[in-house]
Amino acid sequence: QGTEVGFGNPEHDSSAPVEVVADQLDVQRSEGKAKFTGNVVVTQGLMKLFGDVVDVEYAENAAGDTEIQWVHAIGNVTLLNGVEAAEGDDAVYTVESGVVVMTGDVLVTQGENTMAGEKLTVQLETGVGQMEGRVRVLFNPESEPEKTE
Amino acid sequence: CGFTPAYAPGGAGDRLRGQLTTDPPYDKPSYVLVDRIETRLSRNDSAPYRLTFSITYGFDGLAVSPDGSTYRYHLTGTLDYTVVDQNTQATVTSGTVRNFVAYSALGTTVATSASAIDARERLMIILADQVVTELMATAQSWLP
Amino acid sequence: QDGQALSSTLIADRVSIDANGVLVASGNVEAMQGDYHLKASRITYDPNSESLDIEGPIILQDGPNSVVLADSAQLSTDLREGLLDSARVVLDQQLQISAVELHRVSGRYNQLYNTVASSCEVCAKRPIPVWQIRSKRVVHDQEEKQIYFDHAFFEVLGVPVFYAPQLRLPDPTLERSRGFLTPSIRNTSDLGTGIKLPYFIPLGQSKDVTLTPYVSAGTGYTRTLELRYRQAFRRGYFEMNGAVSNDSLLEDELRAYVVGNGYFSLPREYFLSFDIETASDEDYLNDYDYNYGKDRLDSAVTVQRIRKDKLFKGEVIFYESLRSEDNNNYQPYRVTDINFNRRIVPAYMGGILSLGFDFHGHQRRSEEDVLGRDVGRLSGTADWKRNWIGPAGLLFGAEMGTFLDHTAVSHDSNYESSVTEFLPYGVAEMRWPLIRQGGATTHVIEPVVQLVWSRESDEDTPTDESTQLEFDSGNLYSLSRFPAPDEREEGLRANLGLSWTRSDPTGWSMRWTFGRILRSEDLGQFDGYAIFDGAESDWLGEVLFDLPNRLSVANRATFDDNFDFTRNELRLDWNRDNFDIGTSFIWLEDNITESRYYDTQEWTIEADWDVNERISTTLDWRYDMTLDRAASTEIGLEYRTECVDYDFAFERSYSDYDQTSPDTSFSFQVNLAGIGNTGKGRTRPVRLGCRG
Repeated sequence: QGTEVGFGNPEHDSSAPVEVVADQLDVQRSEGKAKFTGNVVVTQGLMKLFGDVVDVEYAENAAGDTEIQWVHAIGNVTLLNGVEAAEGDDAVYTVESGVVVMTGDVLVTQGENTMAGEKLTVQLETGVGQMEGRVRVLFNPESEPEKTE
Repeated sequence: CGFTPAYAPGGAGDRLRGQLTTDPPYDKPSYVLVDRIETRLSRNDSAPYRLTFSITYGFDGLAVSPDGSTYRYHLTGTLDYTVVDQNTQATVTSGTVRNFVAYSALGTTVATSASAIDARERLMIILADQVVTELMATAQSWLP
Repeated sequence: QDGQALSSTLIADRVSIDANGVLVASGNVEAMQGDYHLKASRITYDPNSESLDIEGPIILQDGPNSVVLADSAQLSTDLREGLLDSARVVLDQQLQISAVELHRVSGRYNQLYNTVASSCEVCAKRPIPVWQIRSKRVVHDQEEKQIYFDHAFFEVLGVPVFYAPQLRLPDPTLERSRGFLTPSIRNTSDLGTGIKLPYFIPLGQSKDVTLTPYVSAGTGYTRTLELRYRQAFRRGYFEMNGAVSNDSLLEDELRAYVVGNGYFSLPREYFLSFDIETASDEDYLNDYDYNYGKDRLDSAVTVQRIRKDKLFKGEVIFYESLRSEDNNNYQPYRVTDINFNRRIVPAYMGGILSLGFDFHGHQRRSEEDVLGRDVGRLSGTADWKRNWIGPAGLLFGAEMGTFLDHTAVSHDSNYESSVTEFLPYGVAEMRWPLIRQGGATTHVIEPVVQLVWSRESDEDTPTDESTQLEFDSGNLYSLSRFPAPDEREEGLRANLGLSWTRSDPTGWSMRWTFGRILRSEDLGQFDGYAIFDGAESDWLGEVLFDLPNRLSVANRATFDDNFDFTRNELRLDWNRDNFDIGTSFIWLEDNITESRYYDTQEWTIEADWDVNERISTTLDWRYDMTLDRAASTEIGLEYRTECVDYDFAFERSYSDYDQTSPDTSFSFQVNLAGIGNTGKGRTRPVRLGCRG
């Protein structure tokens, strides 16, 4: 049936562990911060966030383990969540609320359609994305007409 | 009383002689107009200035008899002219002259046709003379 | 063939995407594809159905001249397919078609259901437009620019007056489309009330035919078919207007007329022009207002080439007089004129040498003696003229030349069958123009004295052409006051003239001219012409005023020493942006030689006035002072609204000398704006808006 589109994948779990891979890591343990630089990839479940530089903030959770609370990616930022891909200059992911706010020439590709704007807010759990600023959507029909039931 | 002969040395008429050539004629009446202007201003085919002209006519039927025949015609003519500097192509002066002539449409068909042709040629002479007079009157402002 | 949807763009302040990828655009939402441009308050895009749900108010601009307004709509992403609810199509800002539903089919057809079409503005204060077309379904084919109405009721002020199961009208942006042009209603006292329904048929790019049936009843009847044929060529043009009628004025006869003209440019700069004019009977053109102001029909073929110093013109004219007093048997009906002229600047002599050769011939149908006279004439002319500056600013002019006329006469025993005349002449002229410059104003006074001698001819030739003589500043200094070479002015005479011109390019200018002709001896050439007879001609007086804002007055009169006028003609022309008035007054003394048996005294006024952008009036009034009554009065009124033009014309004229009761006719025409491109130059009056 229809292609699965939209930002959502219902299985997303904000409490899942967040893993960060990068070329280089600088940690300021005292302030609970870390700076990852070089091909940084932040992964949580199916969601992946790429960027040149990612600043992360830690905190003790109720159970006493240290956990990533806040992720800020800068430079060539790409957010993958399910089928959707969104690119921009800058993105902030507040893990607890499961909300990613991307700004700076944001471009979302959705199948053949593309959408460009200044600010994109994505609710990872519900998959609802809200694009703002003079948003421009380009509808490109698939090369061969798709038979939808 | 302030009047000086136009053709006294340095006068407008004298300075104007041989300074203008005209656009070519395109029909019999304008052939008469060009001939008249060239005679009055003395012809010079390589003159520094060129006179361009365009004529629009008006036609008025008068003396209409009760049974609808028209026995008098007024032919009005409006001539717009410009004087163009041959090498810079700039318009140095321009103007409009207008007048009318009349002719009767009585007698035979050839009489009316002869009167009509003669009237149009008389109108050309009148308009040509008015252009020459206006050029003399304004020469001081455009002729170096 | 183009089922393939095209790409399109959507712009909005905010776009939200839900889990299933459904986009909701809101805030200044616009959608664009090619030249379709849609504005709406909210658009929802469902990727599964590839369609847009649009919430109004919707403005869809599809192409430069068509706008669709709707409350809501569901369209394909390329805006070419789909359904709009309570839509209103506005074509070329004129014709509006409102409908409950509008279906768009492949970006070409708009199908509207339960529609009302009109170009009149409809608002609360004026709910019922002057005219509208109510129909079940309307299909607007945007490619063919045609509008098809199914089950159409044509309503005037809300009352259905005409029903058509199928009706096709061109959309306002279409030019040269086959179909009916605007009908008009015509009422005249002779033919009663009738209707003209023109039907236009384009034949390819360069030809078209318009057929106009004209049927009337009432005080008279007519069954008429008018025809106009036009064809444009690469190097020419041809148009022909004609009509065939059977009416109550000439019960048993078929009446017809043809008027055609055309021109072609030929190789080597020759130019051919021709016109055809013929009518079955004298009054036909007048009764139907086809008259083009013609009381003598002339059909002519002309070939000419005119260059700077070379002139060639050959012309044959066929005459057919419609005047009651002319008998076409005795009027010259075939006239041939061939003119050559060459101008040369002689090397040493300077001045201008002009060599001419002219042939003229006119034939009458009748062979009777004198009444059926035919004349042929060959004329050779050689003329040299030049002027010099003399002492004290005098300008001397000299001209000399000769005419060689060979005249052949047939069917007239009073004249020899062929005569040759050799008529040399000489002219000495002296001009003394004086100029006074005063700021912007310049005065030019120019006295002219011209002495002319031409040999007296001892031959006698008939004078068919030079029977009407004029005297004005155009022939004050000419070689001959006769308009044609059948008569040449002879003897020794002096042409004296004085002109005074006050010219001020910024203000007003004025030109006086006076002249007189003094003859050394009265040769009797001008007997019967009061202006020129005797040794001293009448005085010629002319004044011309060019006043600010395009008001000009010109008066020309000829009078004798004790100011007894022979002729006096006055013209006043005043044209502004929104009106122009021309009035003329003429007084011509009777002159038997010129077959003017009464004094002619007439005053005419012609005025066109655009009162405002909706109302314009025309007046054409002619007062015959000799018979002391208005000869004819024509008043025209045009009232233009945004959707209808009303043209009224009232005409009253006397058709007989003694007749007391004039003919009056009244004609009325209605044009529906917004139907087909009427090509009228003027723009439509702007809509008043509902508060107006």
